[in-house]
Amino acid sequence: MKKYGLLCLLALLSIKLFAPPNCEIYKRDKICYESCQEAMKAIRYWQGSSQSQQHFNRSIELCPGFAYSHMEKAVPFLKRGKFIQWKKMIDKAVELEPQEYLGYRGWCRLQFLRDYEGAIKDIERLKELVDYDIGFCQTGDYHLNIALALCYKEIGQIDKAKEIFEQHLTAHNAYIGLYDFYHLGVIEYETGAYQKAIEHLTRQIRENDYLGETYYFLALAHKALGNEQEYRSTLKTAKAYYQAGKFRTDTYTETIDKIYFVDIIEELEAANASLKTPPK
Amino acid sequence: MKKHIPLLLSILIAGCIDQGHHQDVGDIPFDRAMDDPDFNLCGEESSIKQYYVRGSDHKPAGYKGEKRALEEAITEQYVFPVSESESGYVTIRFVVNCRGQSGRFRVEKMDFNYQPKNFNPELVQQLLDITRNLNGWIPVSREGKTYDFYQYLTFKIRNGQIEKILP
Repeated sequence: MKKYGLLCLLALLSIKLFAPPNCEIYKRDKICYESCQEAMKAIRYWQGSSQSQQHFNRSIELCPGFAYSHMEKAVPFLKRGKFIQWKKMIDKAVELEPQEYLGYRGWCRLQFLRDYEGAIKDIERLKELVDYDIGFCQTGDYHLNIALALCYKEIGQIDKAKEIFEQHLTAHNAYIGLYDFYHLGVIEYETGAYQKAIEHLTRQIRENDYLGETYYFLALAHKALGNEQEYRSTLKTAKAYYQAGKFRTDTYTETIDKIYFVDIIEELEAANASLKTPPK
Repeated sequence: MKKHIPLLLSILIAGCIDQGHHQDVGDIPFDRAMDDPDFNLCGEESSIKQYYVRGSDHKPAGYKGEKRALEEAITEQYVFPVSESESGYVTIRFVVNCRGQSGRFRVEKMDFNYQPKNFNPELVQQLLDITRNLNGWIPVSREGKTYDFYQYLTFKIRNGQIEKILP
Protein backbone atom coordinates (compact mmCIF):
# COMPACT_ATOMS: atom_id res chain seq x y z
CA MET A 1 0.00 0.00 0.00
CA LYS A 2 2.88 2.33 0.82
CA LYS A 3 4.33 1.61 -2.60
CA TYR A 4 0.99 2.40 -4.21
CA GLY A 5 0.83 5.70 -2.35
CA LEU A 6 4.36 6.58 -3.37
CA LEU A 7 3.54 5.81 -7.01
CA CYS A 8 0.50 8.09 -6.84
CA LEU A 9 2.58 10.84 -5.28
CA LEU A 10 5.29 10.50 -7.93
CA ALA A 11 2.69 10.57 -10.68
CA LEU A 12 1.05 13.66 -9.22
CA LEU A 13 4.39 15.39 -8.94
CA SER A 14 5.29 14.65 -12.52
CA ILE A 15 2.06 15.22 -14.45
CA LYS A 16 1.19 18.53 -15.95
CA LEU A 17 -1.81 19.69 -13.99
CA PHE A 18 -1.87 23.06 -15.68
CA ALA A 19 -1.75 25.00 -12.47
CA PRO A 20 -2.70 28.65 -12.83
CA PRO A 21 0.18 30.63 -14.30
CA ASN A 22 2.19 33.00 -12.19
CA CYS A 23 0.94 36.37 -13.43
CA GLU A 24 3.90 38.18 -11.87
CA ILE A 25 6.12 37.03 -14.75
CA TYR A 26 4.02 39.14 -17.14
CA LYS A 27 4.39 42.33 -15.11
CA ARG A 28 6.53 44.02 -17.74
CA ASP A 29 3.74 43.58 -20.28
CA LYS A 30 0.85 45.48 -18.77
CA ILE A 31 -1.82 44.10 -21.15
CA CYS A 32 -0.80 40.45 -20.78
CA TYR A 33 -0.48 40.91 -17.04
CA GLU A 34 -4.07 42.10 -17.01
CA SER A 35 -5.06 39.19 -19.26
CA CYS A 36 -3.49 36.78 -16.78
CA GLN A 37 -5.36 38.45 -13.93
CA GLU A 38 -8.61 37.96 -15.86
CA ALA A 39 -7.81 34.25 -16.22
CA MET A 40 -7.26 34.09 -12.46
CA LYS A 41 -10.69 35.62 -11.96
CA ALA A 42 -12.18 33.09 -14.41
CA ILE A 43 -10.96 30.06 -12.46
CA ARG A 44 -12.51 31.34 -9.26
CA TYR A 45 -15.92 30.59 -10.77
CA TRP A 46 -17.49 27.19 -11.44
CA GLN A 47 -15.89 25.69 -14.55
CA GLY A 48 -18.07 26.31 -17.59
CA SER A 49 -20.19 28.96 -15.88
CA SER A 50 -21.05 32.10 -17.81
CA GLN A 51 -19.00 34.20 -15.38
CA SER A 52 -15.93 32.02 -15.87
CA GLN A 53 -16.29 32.08 -19.66
CA GLN A 54 -16.72 35.87 -19.66
CA HIS A 55 -13.47 36.38 -17.80
CA PHE A 56 -11.68 34.03 -20.18
CA ASN A 57 -13.13 35.96 -23.12
CA ARG A 58 -11.85 39.20 -21.63
CA SER A 59 -8.47 37.61 -20.99
CA ILE A 60 -8.19 36.46 -24.62
CA GLU A 61 -9.41 39.81 -25.90
CA LEU A 62 -6.66 41.57 -23.96
CA CYS A 63 -3.87 39.20 -24.92
CA PRO A 64 -4.81 36.81 -27.74
CA GLY A 65 -1.45 35.08 -27.38
CA PHE A 66 -2.14 33.94 -23.81
CA ALA A 67 -2.42 30.20 -24.49
CA TYR A 68 -3.50 29.21 -20.98
CA SER A 69 -6.84 31.02 -21.36
CA HIS A 70 -7.58 29.34 -24.71
CA MET A 71 -6.89 25.92 -23.20
CA GLU A 72 -8.75 26.48 -19.94
CA LYS A 73 -11.76 28.11 -21.64
CA ALA A 74 -12.06 24.99 -23.81
CA VAL A 75 -12.17 22.42 -20.98
CA PRO A 76 -15.94 22.51 -20.20
CA PHE A 77 -16.71 22.20 -23.92
CA LEU A 78 -14.73 18.96 -23.95
CA LYS A 79 -16.34 17.57 -20.83
CA ARG A 80 -19.85 18.41 -22.03
CA GLY A 81 -19.58 16.90 -25.51
CA LYS A 82 -19.20 20.12 -27.51
CA PHE A 83 -16.22 18.90 -29.42
CA ILE A 84 -16.25 21.22 -32.46
CA GLN A 85 -15.91 24.27 -30.24
CA TRP A 86 -13.37 22.53 -27.98
CA LYS A 87 -11.14 21.65 -30.91
CA LYS A 88 -11.07 25.21 -32.23
CA MET A 89 -9.98 26.57 -28.86
CA ILE A 90 -7.45 23.88 -28.00
CA ASP A 91 -5.93 24.19 -31.48
CA LYS A 92 -5.26 27.84 -30.74
CA ALA A 93 -3.54 26.93 -27.47
CA VAL A 94 -1.42 24.32 -29.28
CA GLU A 95 -0.56 26.78 -32.04
CA LEU A 96 0.67 29.27 -29.42
CA GLU A 97 2.51 26.80 -27.17
CA PRO A 98 2.90 23.42 -28.87
CA GLN A 99 5.37 22.07 -26.32
CA GLU A 100 2.97 22.80 -23.51
CA TYR A 101 -0.30 21.58 -25.00
CA LEU A 102 0.37 18.96 -27.69
CA GLY A 103 0.54 16.08 -25.22
CA TYR A 104 -2.59 17.30 -23.47
CA ARG A 105 -4.57 17.59 -26.71
CA GLY A 106 -3.37 14.17 -27.81
CA TRP A 107 -4.50 12.60 -24.56
CA CYS A 108 -7.93 14.29 -24.74
CA ARG A 109 -8.41 12.99 -28.28
CA LEU A 110 -7.74 9.50 -27.00
CA GLN A 111 -9.74 9.76 -23.79
CA PHE A 112 -12.85 11.53 -25.01
CA LEU A 113 -13.10 10.63 -28.69
CA ARG A 114 -11.01 7.49 -29.23
CA ASP A 115 -9.35 9.52 -31.99
CA TYR A 116 -6.32 7.24 -32.04
CA GLU A 117 -4.78 8.64 -35.22
CA GLY A 118 -5.12 12.22 -33.96
CA ALA A 119 -3.61 11.32 -30.60
CA ILE A 120 -0.68 9.55 -32.27
CA LYS A 121 0.02 12.61 -34.43
CA ASP A 122 0.04 14.93 -31.40
CA ILE A 123 2.18 12.77 -29.13
CA GLU A 124 4.67 11.94 -31.87
CA ARG A 125 4.96 15.60 -32.84
CA LEU A 126 5.65 16.44 -29.21
CA LYS A 127 8.39 13.80 -29.10
CA GLU A 128 10.02 15.39 -32.14
CA LEU A 129 9.78 18.86 -30.65
CA VAL A 130 11.34 18.30 -27.25
CA ASP A 131 14.48 16.64 -25.98
CA TYR A 132 13.14 16.01 -22.50
CA ASP A 133 10.70 13.48 -21.04
CA ILE A 134 7.28 14.11 -22.64
CA GLY A 135 5.58 13.43 -19.32
CA PHE A 136 2.21 12.06 -18.35
CA CYS A 137 -1.35 12.29 -19.50
CA GLN A 138 -3.69 14.72 -17.78
CA THR A 139 -5.22 12.12 -15.47
CA GLY A 140 -1.79 10.85 -14.40
CA ASP A 141 -2.78 7.27 -15.25
CA TYR A 142 -0.24 6.83 -18.02
CA HIS A 143 3.07 8.10 -19.27
CA LEU A 144 2.37 9.57 -22.71
CA ASN A 145 4.56 6.81 -24.21
CA ILE A 146 2.09 4.24 -22.86
CA ALA A 147 -0.86 6.30 -24.15
CA LEU A 148 0.85 6.23 -27.56
CA ALA A 149 1.28 2.45 -27.34
CA LEU A 150 -2.41 2.05 -26.47
CA CYS A 151 -3.36 4.09 -29.56
CA TYR A 152 -1.27 1.83 -31.78
CA LYS A 153 -2.86 -1.20 -30.18
CA GLU A 154 -6.34 0.12 -30.84
CA ILE A 155 -5.63 0.69 -34.53
CA GLY A 156 -4.30 -2.83 -34.83
CA GLN A 157 -0.56 -2.07 -34.97
CA ILE A 158 0.19 -4.58 -32.24
CA ASP A 159 3.92 -4.98 -32.91
CA LYS A 160 4.43 -1.24 -32.75
CA ALA A 161 2.41 -1.08 -29.52
CA LYS A 162 4.47 -3.86 -27.93
CA GLU A 163 7.71 -2.23 -29.04
CA ILE A 164 6.77 1.07 -27.36
CA PHE A 165 5.69 -0.74 -24.18
CA GLU A 166 8.96 -2.67 -24.02
CA GLN A 167 11.13 0.36 -24.76
CA HIS A 168 9.36 2.36 -22.09
CA LEU A 169 9.22 -0.29 -19.39
CA THR A 170 12.82 -1.45 -19.80
CA ALA A 171 14.36 2.02 -20.00
CA HIS A 172 16.73 3.12 -17.26
CA ASN A 173 14.74 4.69 -14.41
CA ALA A 174 11.50 3.78 -16.18
CA TYR A 175 8.38 4.97 -14.49
CA ILE A 176 5.96 2.09 -14.20
CA GLY A 177 2.40 3.28 -14.25
CA LEU A 178 -0.47 1.90 -12.25
CA TYR A 179 -1.96 -0.03 -15.17
CA ASP A 180 0.94 -0.58 -17.61
CA PHE A 181 1.35 -4.32 -17.09
CA TYR A 182 -2.41 -4.82 -17.18
CA HIS A 183 -2.60 -3.41 -20.70
CA LEU A 184 0.52 -5.26 -21.82
CA GLY A 185 -0.99 -8.47 -20.45
CA VAL A 186 -4.23 -7.83 -22.34
CA ILE A 187 -2.28 -7.25 -25.59
CA GLU A 188 -0.46 -10.57 -25.12
CA TYR A 189 -3.70 -12.36 -24.31
CA GLU A 190 -5.49 -10.93 -27.32
CA THR A 191 -2.66 -11.99 -29.61
CA GLY A 192 -2.61 -15.52 -28.24
CA ALA A 193 0.62 -15.25 -26.22
CA TYR A 194 -1.06 -16.67 -23.10
CA GLN A 195 2.06 -17.48 -21.10
CA LYS A 196 3.39 -13.96 -21.59
CA ALA A 197 -0.04 -12.60 -20.68
CA ILE A 198 0.12 -14.52 -17.39
CA GLU A 199 3.59 -13.11 -16.68
CA HIS A 200 2.52 -9.50 -17.27
CA LEU A 201 -0.79 -9.80 -15.43
CA THR A 202 0.95 -11.43 -12.47
CA ARG A 203 3.44 -8.56 -12.51
CA GLN A 204 0.49 -6.14 -12.58
CA ILE A 205 -0.90 -7.78 -9.43
CA ARG A 206 2.51 -7.41 -7.81
CA GLU A 207 2.70 -3.74 -8.76
CA ASN A 208 -0.91 -2.80 -8.05
CA ASP A 209 -3.26 -5.46 -6.74
CA TYR A 210 -6.39 -3.43 -7.00
CA LEU A 211 -8.23 -4.46 -10.14
CA GLY A 212 -10.82 -7.15 -10.73
CA GLU A 213 -10.09 -6.68 -14.44
CA THR A 214 -6.55 -8.06 -14.04
CA TYR A 215 -7.88 -11.28 -12.54
CA TYR A 216 -10.47 -11.57 -15.30
CA PHE A 217 -7.85 -11.59 -18.05
CA LEU A 218 -5.53 -13.75 -15.95
CA ALA A 219 -8.36 -16.28 -15.68
CA LEU A 220 -8.92 -16.20 -19.45
CA ALA A 221 -5.22 -16.79 -20.11
CA HIS A 222 -5.25 -19.78 -17.74
CA LYS A 223 -8.35 -21.08 -19.46
CA ALA A 224 -6.66 -20.82 -22.87
CA LEU A 225 -3.73 -22.86 -21.55
CA GLY A 226 -6.02 -25.48 -20.02
CA ASN A 227 -5.16 -24.58 -16.41
CA GLU A 228 -8.68 -25.35 -15.21
CA GLN A 229 -8.13 -24.90 -11.49
CA GLU A 230 -6.33 -21.56 -11.83
CA TYR A 231 -8.95 -20.40 -14.34
CA ARG A 232 -11.84 -20.99 -11.95
CA SER A 233 -10.20 -19.67 -8.80
CA THR A 234 -8.89 -16.54 -10.54
CA LEU A 235 -12.29 -15.83 -12.06
CA LYS A 236 -13.85 -16.03 -8.59
CA THR A 237 -11.25 -13.55 -7.37
CA ALA A 238 -12.21 -11.22 -10.25
CA LYS A 239 -15.83 -11.36 -9.10
CA ALA A 240 -14.94 -10.79 -5.45
CA TYR A 241 -12.75 -7.80 -6.35
CA TYR A 242 -15.47 -6.28 -8.49
CA GLN A 243 -18.05 -6.72 -5.75
CA ALA A 244 -15.68 -5.06 -3.30
CA GLY A 245 -15.48 -2.04 -5.58
CA LYS A 246 -11.98 -2.89 -6.80
CA PHE A 247 -12.22 -2.02 -10.47
CA ARG A 248 -11.29 0.88 -12.69
CA THR A 249 -13.43 3.94 -12.95
CA ASP A 250 -12.93 7.25 -14.65
CA THR A 251 -14.86 10.41 -13.92
CA TYR A 252 -15.49 11.26 -17.55
CA THR A 253 -15.09 8.30 -19.87
CA GLU A 254 -14.73 4.55 -20.13
CA THR A 255 -11.16 3.35 -19.67
CA ILE A 256 -9.36 1.30 -22.31
CA ASP A 257 -9.59 -2.51 -21.93
CA LYS A 258 -12.49 -2.00 -19.53
CA ILE A 259 -14.26 -5.09 -18.18
CA TYR A 260 -17.69 -4.95 -16.55
CA PHE A 261 -19.31 -7.07 -13.88
CA VAL A 262 -21.56 -8.76 -16.42
CA ASP A 263 -18.48 -9.94 -18.37
CA ILE A 264 -17.20 -11.72 -15.27
CA ILE A 265 -20.61 -13.20 -14.47
CA GLU A 266 -21.08 -14.47 -18.02
CA GLU A 267 -17.65 -16.10 -17.92
CA LEU A 268 -18.45 -17.67 -14.54
CA GLU A 269 -21.71 -19.04 -15.93
CA ALA A 270 -19.84 -20.49 -18.90
CA ALA A 271 -17.32 -22.04 -16.52
CA ASN A 272 -20.09 -23.58 -14.41
CA ALA A 273 -21.95 -24.82 -17.48
CA SER A 274 -18.84 -26.56 -18.79
CA LEU A 275 -18.58 -28.40 -15.46
CA LYS A 276 -22.11 -29.72 -15.87
CA THR A 277 -21.62 -30.80 -19.49
CA PRO A 278 -20.62 -34.46 -19.53
CA PRO A 279 -17.44 -35.16 -21.51
CA LYS A 280 -18.04 -36.56 -25.02
CA MET B 1 -43.82 57.49 -10.05
CA LYS B 2 -43.11 58.74 -13.60
CA LYS B 3 -39.59 59.76 -12.68
CA HIS B 4 -38.88 56.14 -11.63
CA ILE B 5 -39.96 54.65 -14.98
CA PRO B 6 -36.53 55.03 -16.69
CA LEU B 7 -34.88 53.45 -13.66
CA LEU B 8 -37.36 50.54 -13.60
CA LEU B 9 -36.93 50.06 -17.34
CA SER B 10 -33.16 49.97 -17.09
CA ILE B 11 -33.37 47.41 -14.26
CA LEU B 12 -35.72 45.30 -16.39
CA ILE B 13 -33.46 45.51 -19.45
CA ALA B 14 -30.39 44.72 -17.37
CA GLY B 15 -32.25 41.76 -15.94
CA CYS B 16 -33.05 40.43 -19.40
CA ILE B 17 -29.47 40.86 -20.59
CA ASP B 18 -28.23 39.22 -17.42
CA GLN B 19 -30.57 36.25 -17.99
CA GLY B 20 -28.86 35.67 -21.33
CA HIS B 21 -25.48 35.77 -19.66
CA HIS B 22 -26.47 33.10 -17.17
CA GLN B 23 -26.28 30.34 -19.71
CA ASP B 24 -23.39 28.04 -18.92
CA VAL B 25 -21.42 25.94 -21.40
CA GLY B 26 -23.62 23.14 -22.71
CA ASP B 27 -26.88 24.27 -21.11
CA ILE B 28 -30.00 23.09 -22.97
CA PRO B 29 -32.90 25.44 -22.32
CA PHE B 30 -36.42 24.22 -23.14
CA ASP B 31 -37.40 24.94 -26.74
CA ARG B 32 -41.13 24.58 -27.37
CA ALA B 33 -40.51 24.06 -31.10
CA MET B 34 -38.64 20.82 -30.60
CA ASP B 35 -38.93 19.63 -26.98
CA ASP B 36 -41.55 17.40 -25.39
CA PRO B 37 -43.64 19.66 -23.12
CA ASP B 38 -44.38 16.66 -20.89
CA PHE B 39 -40.75 16.23 -19.96
CA ASN B 40 -40.31 17.94 -16.62
CA LEU B 41 -37.33 18.72 -14.48
CA CYS B 42 -37.47 17.88 -10.78
CA GLY B 43 -35.48 20.94 -9.75
CA GLU B 44 -34.56 24.36 -11.05
CA GLU B 45 -32.95 24.93 -14.44
CA SER B 46 -29.92 26.36 -12.71
CA SER B 47 -29.39 23.29 -10.57
CA ILE B 48 -29.08 20.68 -13.36
CA LYS B 49 -25.84 18.84 -12.67
CA GLN B 50 -23.30 17.38 -15.07
CA TYR B 51 -23.15 13.59 -15.46
CA TYR B 52 -19.57 13.60 -14.20
CA VAL B 53 -20.23 15.41 -10.95
CA ARG B 54 -18.31 13.64 -8.25
CA GLY B 55 -17.34 14.28 -4.70
CA SER B 56 -17.34 12.68 -1.31
CA ASP B 57 -21.12 13.10 -1.06
CA HIS B 58 -22.16 12.89 -4.75
CA LYS B 59 -22.72 9.67 -6.67
CA PRO B 60 -22.23 10.20 -10.41
CA ALA B 61 -24.80 9.27 -13.02
CA GLY B 62 -24.85 5.78 -14.46
CA TYR B 63 -26.80 3.21 -16.43
CA LYS B 64 -28.46 0.04 -15.12
CA GLY B 65 -26.18 -2.85 -16.05
CA GLU B 66 -23.27 -0.44 -16.59
CA LYS B 67 -21.97 0.65 -19.97
CA ARG B 68 -22.24 -2.88 -21.38
CA ALA B 69 -26.06 -2.79 -21.04
CA LEU B 70 -26.18 0.66 -22.63
CA GLU B 71 -24.08 -0.53 -25.58
CA GLU B 72 -26.25 -3.59 -26.05
CA ALA B 73 -29.47 -1.57 -25.94
CA ILE B 74 -28.09 0.63 -28.72
CA THR B 75 -26.38 -1.89 -30.98
CA GLU B 76 -29.34 -4.31 -30.83
CA GLN B 77 -31.57 -1.68 -32.42
CA TYR B 78 -29.18 0.08 -34.78
CA VAL B 79 -29.45 -1.09 -38.38
CA PHE B 80 -27.86 0.94 -41.14
CA PRO B 81 -26.26 -0.19 -44.39
CA VAL B 82 -22.49 0.05 -44.83
CA SER B 83 -21.85 3.41 -46.46
CA GLU B 84 -18.40 4.90 -47.06
CA SER B 85 -19.67 8.47 -46.92
CA GLU B 86 -21.06 8.09 -43.38
CA SER B 87 -18.03 8.51 -41.10
CA GLY B 88 -17.41 10.85 -38.20
CA TYR B 89 -18.98 11.59 -34.85
CA VAL B 90 -22.64 12.11 -33.92
CA THR B 91 -23.10 13.53 -30.44
CA ILE B 92 -26.51 13.63 -28.79
CA ARG B 93 -26.72 15.85 -25.73
CA PHE B 94 -29.74 15.73 -23.46
CA VAL B 95 -31.13 16.14 -19.96
CA VAL B 96 -32.09 13.29 -17.61
CA ASN B 97 -34.39 14.21 -14.76
CA CYS B 98 -34.24 12.91 -11.19
CA ARG B 99 -36.63 10.06 -12.15
CA GLY B 100 -34.33 8.84 -14.92
CA GLN B 101 -36.51 10.19 -17.77
CA SER B 102 -34.77 11.95 -20.64
CA GLY B 103 -35.63 14.94 -22.81
CA ARG B 104 -34.36 18.07 -24.64
CA PHE B 105 -32.23 16.19 -27.16
CA ARG B 106 -29.71 18.14 -29.23
CA VAL B 107 -27.55 16.72 -32.00
CA GLU B 108 -24.07 17.80 -33.10
CA LYS B 109 -22.29 16.15 -36.00
CA MET B 110 -18.70 16.39 -37.13
CA ASP B 111 -16.20 14.60 -39.33
CA PHE B 112 -12.94 13.05 -38.14
CA ASN B 113 -11.27 16.46 -38.51
CA TYR B 114 -13.70 17.99 -36.00
CA GLN B 115 -15.47 19.97 -38.72
CA PRO B 116 -19.29 20.19 -38.87
CA LYS B 117 -20.66 17.52 -41.18
CA ASN B 118 -24.05 16.41 -42.44
CA PHE B 119 -24.82 12.72 -42.09
CA ASN B 120 -27.62 10.83 -43.79
CA PRO B 121 -30.74 12.04 -41.89
CA GLU B 122 -31.98 8.45 -41.51
CA LEU B 123 -28.82 7.49 -39.64
CA VAL B 124 -29.11 10.48 -37.30
CA GLN B 125 -32.83 9.90 -36.75
CA GLN B 126 -32.17 6.29 -35.83
CA LEU B 127 -29.55 7.25 -33.26
CA LEU B 128 -31.87 9.88 -31.88
CA ASP B 129 -34.80 7.45 -31.58
CA ILE B 130 -32.64 4.84 -29.89
CA THR B 131 -31.23 7.39 -27.45
CA ARG B 132 -34.74 8.68 -26.66
CA ASN B 133 -35.86 5.15 -25.79
CA LEU B 134 -33.00 4.33 -23.41
CA ASN B 135 -34.63 3.75 -20.05
CA GLY B 136 -31.88 2.67 -17.71
CA TRP B 137 -30.46 6.01 -16.60
CA ILE B 138 -29.44 6.25 -12.97
CA PRO B 139 -29.50 9.89 -11.90
CA VAL B 140 -26.80 11.73 -10.02
CA SER B 141 -27.53 11.40 -6.31
CA ARG B 142 -26.51 12.82 -3.00
CA GLU B 143 -27.43 11.34 0.36
CA GLY B 144 -30.21 9.32 -1.26
CA LYS B 145 -31.74 12.24 -3.16
CA THR B 146 -31.59 12.16 -6.96
CA TYR B 147 -31.00 15.15 -9.24
CA ASP B 148 -31.52 16.24 -12.85
CA PHE B 149 -28.36 16.05 -14.93
CA TYR B 150 -26.88 16.70 -18.37
CA GLN B 151 -25.69 13.64 -20.28
CA TYR B 152 -24.33 13.09 -23.76
CA LEU B 153 -23.65 10.11 -26.00
CA THR B 154 -21.13 10.30 -28.81
CA PHE B 155 -21.31 7.73 -31.57
CA LYS B 156 -18.10 7.20 -33.48
CA ILE B 157 -19.38 6.15 -36.89
CA ARG B 158 -17.25 4.51 -39.56
CA ASN B 159 -18.80 3.63 -42.91
CA GLY B 160 -22.26 3.91 -41.41
CA GLN B 161 -21.52 1.49 -38.56
CA ILE B 162 -21.12 2.28 -34.86
CA GLU B 163 -17.45 1.82 -34.02
CA LYS B 164 -17.58 3.17 -30.47
CA ILE B 165 -20.06 4.67 -28.07
CA LEU B 166 -18.66 7.36 -25.78
CA PRO B 167 -18.14 8.58 -23.09
